[in-house]
Amino acid sequence: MIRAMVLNEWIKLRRRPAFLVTLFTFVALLGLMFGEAFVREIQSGEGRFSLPGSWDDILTEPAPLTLLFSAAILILLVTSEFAWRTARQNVIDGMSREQWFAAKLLLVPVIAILFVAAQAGIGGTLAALATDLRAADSALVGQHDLHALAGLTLSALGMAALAFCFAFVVRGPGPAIALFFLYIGVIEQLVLTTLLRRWDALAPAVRYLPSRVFFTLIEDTQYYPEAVARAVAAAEKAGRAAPVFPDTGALMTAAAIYTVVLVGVAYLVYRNRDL
Amino acid sequence: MSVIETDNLTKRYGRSLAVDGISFTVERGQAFGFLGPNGSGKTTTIGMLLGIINPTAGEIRLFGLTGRRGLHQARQRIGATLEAPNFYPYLSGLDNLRIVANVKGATRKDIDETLEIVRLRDRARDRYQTYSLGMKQRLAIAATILADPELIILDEPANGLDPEGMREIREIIGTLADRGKTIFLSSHLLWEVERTCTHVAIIKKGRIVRHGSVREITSGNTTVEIRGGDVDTLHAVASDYPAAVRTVRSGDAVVVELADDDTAALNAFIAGRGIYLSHLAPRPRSLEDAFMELTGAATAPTFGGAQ
Repeated sequence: MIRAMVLNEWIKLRRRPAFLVTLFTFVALLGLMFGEAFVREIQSGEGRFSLPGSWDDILTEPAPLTLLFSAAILILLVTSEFAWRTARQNVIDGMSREQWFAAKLLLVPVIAILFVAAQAGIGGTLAALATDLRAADSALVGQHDLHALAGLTLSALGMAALAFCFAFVVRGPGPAIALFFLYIGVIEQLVLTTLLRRWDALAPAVRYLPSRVFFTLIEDTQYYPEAVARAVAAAEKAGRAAPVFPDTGALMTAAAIYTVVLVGVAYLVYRNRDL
Repeated sequence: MSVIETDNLTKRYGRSLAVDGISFTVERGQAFGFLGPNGSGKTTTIGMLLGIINPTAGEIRLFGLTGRRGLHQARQRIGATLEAPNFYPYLSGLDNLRIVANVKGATRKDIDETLEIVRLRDRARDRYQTYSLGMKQRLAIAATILADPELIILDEPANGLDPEGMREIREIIGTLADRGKTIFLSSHLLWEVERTCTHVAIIKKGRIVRHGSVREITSGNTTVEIRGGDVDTLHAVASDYPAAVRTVRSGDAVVVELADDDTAALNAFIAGRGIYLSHLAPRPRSLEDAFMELTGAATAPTFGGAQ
């Protein structure tokens, strides 16, 4: 059945206009962002867009786009199965409800990794083309870069799991996307943050709210000492207290826990409702 | 051997009881009609049989198997469509069948044969969203019969079809019944069910009100159709006849259900009231008559007089 599940998701995915258009738009935006840096680098030759120095920008600057695009397409892919009633038909055709859930769950890592790979791949390839590889005196990918890539991947997985959960709770494509963005943009950022900050004991929990964790994990200050130094210098210049950055390991653990919990909630909601 | 057995199957939505403790059995090889007015609980019952609606109470046994794992195994031997055909609109008919075939373990040869049966081979590579309603229903039947299931469950397969589409679906169902498949057919088209099915269950407000062979259910009192003079006067006179169980106007005729089979006495009674019949013929009791009687459906002709 696993083979059938993978084959079927592939048949659905490769011909799905919404998926192809979203992926194309995402790739086009990345092309514009990295393409501009690439052209500037070719013209100036200043080494501002080259490897390994540019991994910081490649992995963190477009990352919010990666998270949001992959979440939106995941919601579309899952909710359309309810809208078209193909979820119930797949079960009628012989999948167990658990197998159907597992088939959809497969999409979480596939979509998250696909979008992260597109970001890192396009940015990395263009930066490599702009780099004089023969003159490079260090490895093209450093330890910090690998940590940043791991953080980005975990963050994309977590955001995809959040989207997955909304898709199973709301089921309608439009309402699910609207509520998802309302949650990360308003409910969590304003309502929950404001509420938690009213109690001193709960205030530190603000930085561990789900989407806050996922977005913090894609900031360069979590991985690059140079970025931390820049942030501290900017705060000093502005006369503010030096910023305190959360522990990256704790954030990664929180992201992993959230991913598992959100998938679990999605399953419980799915199991207890009719198709 | 029983293919479907339900025992006290119940589904409650909040305070509303959609299915109220129904129990019935479908034996192997039967063509079983599941009848009921709109909202009577037919689709909910089928949904529970197929595992897409969680029962509130009761037990389901399919092919003798029960429990979560047993029912999942049993459901692999079932082909079914529920309400409207449900497919991926952006995929071709062929790709939609590939998805079903991958789940059911059917081969490309099975897909081609099935497309041939439902006469969709020429349009198999067209997108599902370009299909007519009749083609969508035929594709749904193709998906249902793919991999040669032992039990076929069809919920309103002729819904929304024109007469030609209905005839095609009827032929396909007839072919399946002739092959000895167990068929569970839910339909509003009672004459279709009467022609296709050997057994029926009639459900009303979530309860089974009658369950048995079509012959048992359609057997009953002698019914005659009479004509002569003004139909309203004839209806009033026939309603006064002491042995008339029920009378109903049907066009320019009156249909009379008799407590006995003495049609000569009915003729004499009406003649005695000054009306001479131009037509008196026995009318076999149809499944529709039985259905209307058991469900009191609003679409039924209004019985009056001796009712």
